[in-house]
Amino acid sequence: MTAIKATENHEPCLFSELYTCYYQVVARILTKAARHPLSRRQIEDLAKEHGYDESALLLVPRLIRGDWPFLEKVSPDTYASRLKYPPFPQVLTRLQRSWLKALLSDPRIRLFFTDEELSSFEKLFSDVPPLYRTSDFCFFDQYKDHDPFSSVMYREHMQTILSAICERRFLSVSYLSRKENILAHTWLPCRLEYGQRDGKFRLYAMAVRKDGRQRMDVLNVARILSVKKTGSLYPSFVDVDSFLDHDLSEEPLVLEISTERNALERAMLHFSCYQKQVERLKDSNTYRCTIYYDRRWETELLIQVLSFGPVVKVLGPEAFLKQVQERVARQALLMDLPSHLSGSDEW
Amino acid sequence: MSEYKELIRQFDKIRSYVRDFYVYGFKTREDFHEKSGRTYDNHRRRMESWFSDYIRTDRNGHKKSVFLTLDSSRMPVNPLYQAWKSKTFTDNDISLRFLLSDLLADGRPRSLERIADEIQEQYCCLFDTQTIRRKLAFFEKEGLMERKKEGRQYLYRAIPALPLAHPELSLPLWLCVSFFQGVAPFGFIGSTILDFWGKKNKYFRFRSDYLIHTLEDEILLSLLQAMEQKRQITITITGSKSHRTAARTVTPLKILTGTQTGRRYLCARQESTRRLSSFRLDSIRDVKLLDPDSNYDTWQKHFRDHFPQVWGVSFGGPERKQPETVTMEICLNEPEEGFILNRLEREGRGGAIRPVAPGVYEYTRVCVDAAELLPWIKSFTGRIRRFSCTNPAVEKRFREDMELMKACYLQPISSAIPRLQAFSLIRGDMP
Repeated sequence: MTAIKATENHEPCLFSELYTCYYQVVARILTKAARHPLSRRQIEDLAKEHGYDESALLLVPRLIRGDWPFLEKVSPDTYASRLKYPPFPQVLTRLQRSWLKALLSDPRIRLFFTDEELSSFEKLFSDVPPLYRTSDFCFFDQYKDHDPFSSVMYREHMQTILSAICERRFLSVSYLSRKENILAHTWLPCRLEYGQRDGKFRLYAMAVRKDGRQRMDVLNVARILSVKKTGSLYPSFVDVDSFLDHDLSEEPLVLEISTERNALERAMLHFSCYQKQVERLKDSNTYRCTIYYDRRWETELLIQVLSFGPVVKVLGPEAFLKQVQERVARQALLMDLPSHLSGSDEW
Repeated sequence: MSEYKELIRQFDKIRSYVRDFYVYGFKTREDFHEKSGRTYDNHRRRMESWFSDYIRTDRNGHKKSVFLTLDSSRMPVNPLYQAWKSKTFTDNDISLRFLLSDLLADGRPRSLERIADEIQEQYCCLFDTQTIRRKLAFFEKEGLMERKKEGRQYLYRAIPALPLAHPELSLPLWLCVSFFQGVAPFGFIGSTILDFWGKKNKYFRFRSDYLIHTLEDEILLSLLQAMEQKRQITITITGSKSHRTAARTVTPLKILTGTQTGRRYLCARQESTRRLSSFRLDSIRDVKLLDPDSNYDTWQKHFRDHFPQVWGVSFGGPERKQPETVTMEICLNEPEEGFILNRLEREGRGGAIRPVAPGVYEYTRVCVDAAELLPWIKSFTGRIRRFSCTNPAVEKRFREDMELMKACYLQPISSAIPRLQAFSLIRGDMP
């Protein structure tokens, strides 16, 4: 049997100098320095903005000293780029092209391109091998009712939304609410959120009331019945996160996690997508985990916590704990009561 | 003693540190026994630098824990990708990366000698011809340059950048890459494409995104390569509980991704047991490709035949001869609690649902390892009227867990609920 170490098999390498952060910082600096000479301070600021926290300390002296020969001194304290062409956009590597090729087998790719564009894309990458095959993966616990990515109407809606987001253009939307009411309204589309679990796109869209007050609504793209661009543009970028900050729970969820049944490891990974803090409790085999969460997703979080059973215990906040206690109380009654009582025809 | 550097030579050295800082976050310097304290200090400093916006510290007495904390649904790009962008390089590496790209950007092919001369003339830099040759060969291998023979010499030419060559695709490609860098396998590569084009993801966010997966990408690439070539492999795995390391010879068949648990697995046919097994990707330390497996298509068919009876990733042990059946009855107030029925349908992975009484539905699922269903079943706590399983151990575990939950949460209040009120609670509106 011949053994080949996978990384020695002349395949493209993921961990390569070509993708290093420093190269990108230098490219950013040279782009600016091609427009107008930069002072050392300006170069340092760019290194801090685009690099790691300590990158400027290493990177800037090398550029200034000429160890990396891309800048020339044009005045006592300003430097211009020696390059003849702008560094962006750069040529893609074989690895990057094969990743793009792999996307072509994903049904969601059609949401971003017209048929004509997609066919140019496919032609351009016809001789590139895909990095992976979508069929090699199985998302075994993804919800069944994901968005209809292959639907013609859904694709048209997504493309209208994407175009309007880029233009900051208001959309006239007809929407089927959760309560099955049809709402017609004008919204400014700001951001799309994709849920990996449910395979759904949600549109964060700003509604402006007559008195000028603004509100951020969340629309399920699959529930949009019709969408049309309006003639109105919004003048500035909308900071969606500042709206969402209002939805953060005032008190974090506090959990006590035991180490039984590998619960710590399971819970830490499960809740890793939340902002959290974990501490080891002294003289016990338990850990306290504090999770900061969005109130809109509280029920979902509650269900997740319940799925761990007794190895994860809710300590607070009071309202959250009460919900758990109520559910456990109901469950205790359901289990303790004889089946003919709990399942009586009075239900 | 070598001086501290922000960049690193080998990714696998940092993988477990990033994981511990991000997933656990409570570990202190003393918990990192495997290497010296100085190694820990250097890695901690690197991570403070790479992830400066998300690093926090906590003091517990004299002990300090440093951890990474962030809300993944607010992130335009996975911050852990930064770890992939930390490879060291030499002065020659960076100089020739920019100078060769700039020189050849006009599209004219040039010989090696011509290139060396022009670099000296135009940028006042002198490089050894061998150094330039090696770099050009590297760029050619990476697909950044083309080489063709003309007469007795090779000419090198840059490939035009995609957005410049096809401006009509520029906007849709940017949006497409912005999205897929957050959801597709190897999203890190997508983020480097944004870097290469000087772009950022402005309009997409990702909910319930397990950022940690990126740390397994090198292993994943090797596994996919083996699957594509239908090879057997030897994997070195370290148990998450035992921390023991072992080697297994397997035929890789599928990558199973849990969108709810944050875990990814390799499903493979194990040579020693002749059974299908799942291995967590984060437990795989190394992959060695072996010869092609002549029965590869047979094992794939075997997987396809058996997977519909698997709830998650467990194909059961040799002791499980028969599939197990789980049945539960769920109570809900119709029609206002129709969402519970929706949950059963969309999350039930093909289980059968039928009404058994007004407001009571029975859910039944046959699977290889019923214990895997328990977390999902428990998420319906408060509504489960009946639970049974053909595996008595699973039924016992469920009952015990419910008893423990009762002991954990209810002792003070259960006795306070009068029996009459209990009935109304059962029928009452649940949030």
